[in-house]
Amino acid sequence: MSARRAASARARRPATWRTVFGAPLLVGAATLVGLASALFFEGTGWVVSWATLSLPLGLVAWHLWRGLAPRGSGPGRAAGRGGAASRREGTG
Amino acid sequence: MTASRIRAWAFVHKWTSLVSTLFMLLLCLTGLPLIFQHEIDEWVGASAGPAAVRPGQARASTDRIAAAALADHPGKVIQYLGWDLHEPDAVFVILNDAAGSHPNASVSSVYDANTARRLGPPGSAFMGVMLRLHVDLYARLPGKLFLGAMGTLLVAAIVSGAVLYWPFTRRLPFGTVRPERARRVVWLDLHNLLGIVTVAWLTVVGATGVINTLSEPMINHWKATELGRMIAAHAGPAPARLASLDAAVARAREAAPGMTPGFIAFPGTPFSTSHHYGVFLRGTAPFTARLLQPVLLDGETGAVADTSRLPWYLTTLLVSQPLHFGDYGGMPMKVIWALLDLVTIVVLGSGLYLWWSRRRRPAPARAVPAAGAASA
Repeated sequence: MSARRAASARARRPATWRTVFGAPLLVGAATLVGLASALFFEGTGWVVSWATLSLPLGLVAWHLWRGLAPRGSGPGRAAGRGGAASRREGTG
Repeated sequence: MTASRIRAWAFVHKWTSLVSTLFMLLLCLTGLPLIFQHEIDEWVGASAGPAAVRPGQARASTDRIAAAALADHPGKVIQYLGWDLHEPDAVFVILNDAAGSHPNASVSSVYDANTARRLGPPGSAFMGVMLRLHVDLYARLPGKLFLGAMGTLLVAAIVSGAVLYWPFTRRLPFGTVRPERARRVVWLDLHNLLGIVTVAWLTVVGATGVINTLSEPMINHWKATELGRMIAAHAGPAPARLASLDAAVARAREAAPGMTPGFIAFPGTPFSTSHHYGVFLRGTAPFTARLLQPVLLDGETGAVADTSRLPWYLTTLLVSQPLHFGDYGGMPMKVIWALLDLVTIVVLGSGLYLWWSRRRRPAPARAVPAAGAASA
């Protein structure tokens, strides 16, 4: 399947709030849990806060590496990099 | 989502961001060293750390520390004496020309809680500058309220940004970064990714920052109402001879079981009466350590006169402080706070770049609502 066809297939797939906001909502919930846990529980609560508050940083690092690493060295994306459909979004 | 709605949210996002961005960048840059205020001050040697406690060594009495502070600052009187939340072996003393003098004229010193030895000023000049730039831009209350307004705009920018995340990423897998595309697209991808994963953290830090900008009006309101009534009911002549601080603190602890002293306001200061000490105690658990309970004690006899609980708005203020400072989860949390701060700087910078680059090339800008309309 060509990149263009993969991208247009994805474009046809209806976007739901879960595909768009699912990951951000989980990260946000984890952040709030972490912020509260350190406030109420010393020790375990601190460790929980370090783990959950690192999540956004880890996601940023992971996706930057995935997206910016030269092709071949990173895990890369199978298809759809810069497809026709996603190009339209690029102008915002 | 209709095109007109997207345009409306984009309008809100653009203007709330544009107005606040430069100030937010300043707050991010000055806030970065402030996260490590304690470490930096120790590193530059602003104040020596407390000496190691020898086994069996008794703590210096509070009266002895107060006497040492008065001897070190001839002609001054003590306004406040308190115990550092993060450094249990350090006692800070704030002195001034008179008990009721303006805080800007005060001098502060830190003392070793075990030896009553003077450790130095509470912070370096550099951190003092960072703090003023971060807190009030050297403009006192108007500066604070102005930064509070900018923080409110930031929260509005975050909300509108989260709404716009939908039309801009609905066709893309989460976290898409497209380096092979135009520079503007890459920065848009980064703006979306970095912005959306830090939404919760930045909202909490922004909102608690806004609450902190209101600390002065909140405390003034408390002084005009509850604390004021408590003080008015017990006003009296200035004490001829001050009661022992250690005796007063011991009685205050009896009045507030399970709590530990946070700071003492001396008679004549805004947090006490002309005749009474105000001893402010805090809890010992991580959460309750942030809350304070005031106890008024007779300045001459040290007897408990009155006590009350903090009103809800001051409780909110005190709880919002650690959530803004990130100082309640050890060094790893401070490092995470700093990294999230750096991510925020990239979000602000990329947002500014996206606005600027679109301004220079107005034609593609019209494609945005079109794309949004297609998705609506």
